[in-house]
Amino acid sequence: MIQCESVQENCDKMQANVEFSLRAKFPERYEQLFQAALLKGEPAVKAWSSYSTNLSLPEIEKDFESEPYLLLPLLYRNLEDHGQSENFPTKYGGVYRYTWTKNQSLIHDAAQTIKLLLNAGIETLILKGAALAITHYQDFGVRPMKDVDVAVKPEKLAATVRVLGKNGWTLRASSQLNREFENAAGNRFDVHWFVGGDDWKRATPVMVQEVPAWTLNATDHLNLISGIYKWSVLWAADTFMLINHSSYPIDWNRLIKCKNDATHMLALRMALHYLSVVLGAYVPQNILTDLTHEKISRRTYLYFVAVVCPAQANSEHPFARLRELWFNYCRIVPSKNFLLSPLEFLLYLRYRWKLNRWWKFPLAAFARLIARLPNLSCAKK
Amino acid sequence: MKPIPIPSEHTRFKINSAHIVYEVIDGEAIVIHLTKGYYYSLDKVGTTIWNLIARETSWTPLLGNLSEHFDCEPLVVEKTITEFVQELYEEELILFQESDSAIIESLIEKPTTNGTHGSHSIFTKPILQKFTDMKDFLLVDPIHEVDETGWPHKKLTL
Repeated sequence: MIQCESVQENCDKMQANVEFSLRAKFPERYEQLFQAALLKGEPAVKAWSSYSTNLSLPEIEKDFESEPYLLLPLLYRNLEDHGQSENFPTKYGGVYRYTWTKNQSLIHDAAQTIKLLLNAGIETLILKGAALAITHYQDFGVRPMKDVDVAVKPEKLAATVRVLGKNGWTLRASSQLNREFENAAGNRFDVHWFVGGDDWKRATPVMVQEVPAWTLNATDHLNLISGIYKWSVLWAADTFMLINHSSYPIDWNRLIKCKNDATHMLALRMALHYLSVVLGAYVPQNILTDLTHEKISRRTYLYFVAVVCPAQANSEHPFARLRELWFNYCRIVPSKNFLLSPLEFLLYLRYRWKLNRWWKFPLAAFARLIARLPNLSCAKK
Repeated sequence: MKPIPIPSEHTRFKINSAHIVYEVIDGEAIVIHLTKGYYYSLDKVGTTIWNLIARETSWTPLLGNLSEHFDCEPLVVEKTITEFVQELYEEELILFQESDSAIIESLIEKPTTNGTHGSHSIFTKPILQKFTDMKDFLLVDPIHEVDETGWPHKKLTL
């Protein structure tokens, strides 16, 4: 009985910690940046005023040259719209120009490719950043993208690869989840096939530079991106835009039912809690309450601490990355026992490190350890 | 090489939207020719003209508007703007369309520019900057490799 209580107490403490863990990942001043970039009216103006007056220019520059860099175009545009851009450092306004230019080139090539696929009888579902730039942000300058993600039906994958190969796209990388292509202009086109039949049925039509395509509806898109474990400022912004700026309300009950994995559920809960507290995202209270009542296992908690909140997990430790891989493996391989076979984990590492021979394994491990040691010494300084 | 037309009172301008996209950011027009992969940037005077062209303004009202807006001899304005629109045409950024004179006369409302009505700005020759290698252009780090004016202006290295 005592043992059960102590386990329960532990889990309760973990629950409380998890709600705040995203606030550990994102410092308080990032919350002001989110508000200045994503909110409208007085709250946005107040957030920017607070951020820019409380920090010195070198501190602002340090932020803008790390993760919040991804928010710069959105921040710039929102401040411009609110007549507040005179205090925005001129150099960083160039990031909006850069993003707009890069995205126009990406979307143009993607549209031409989607047209080719359509002519070959292959329907395309456009996903993630490119889709949200069209449907939610409605401004190609605010949402940085490295590539355009699309999905095709699994039976059309081979034909898709053929069409792309004949039209100037070279296969750059492939995995069990995607095929990434690149063209001569340096633009990338990432093809997936994991989208299920029901998602296709619920897909909504969209025009990509006057080429017809499909995209996931808001609930399915939210399901997709809220399952991303490595939370970044961009994913937070996307999640907020889906919740607050979709044409149709989110089907929350269906969204929760889709989350049949404890870690997925936790990722969703953390995201929704953070966004509702910091940005006032329109998440129904009963949904937050239902999610909060989901108990967290120790394994799930440790995974999140290692992967989502590396600041808490001492990410400078030389074995931090190995720990992250271990938890990734635990998540992928269903097991009733937390103590999984070490050999199976080694197989997974070999796959992740792309080693075609076992004898390369010790060298690869040693090289990675050596590469991390400078980070450790810098962190100590 | 196709001949460059000379704009006349019957000429109406149009953006070549089948091949280009543009955006005005901080008073500067950025234009991308998607087919050629070229990036163009227009200065303030060029952007003023570009905004008028985007409204499919005809030649005569365009000249009239610019002559009122800028403190300069109308003939100087006309000569300079002629060369500029011809340059835009040569780069395939705009199209010249010959309109009915009746349609031109029906355009009673004069398009306004960004400046205050009645105010006069100094007229300078409009500049169209062109960058032909967009792939290399986009490799410039927009934070660390640019000067204080921001991308695409690279930091000068000694």
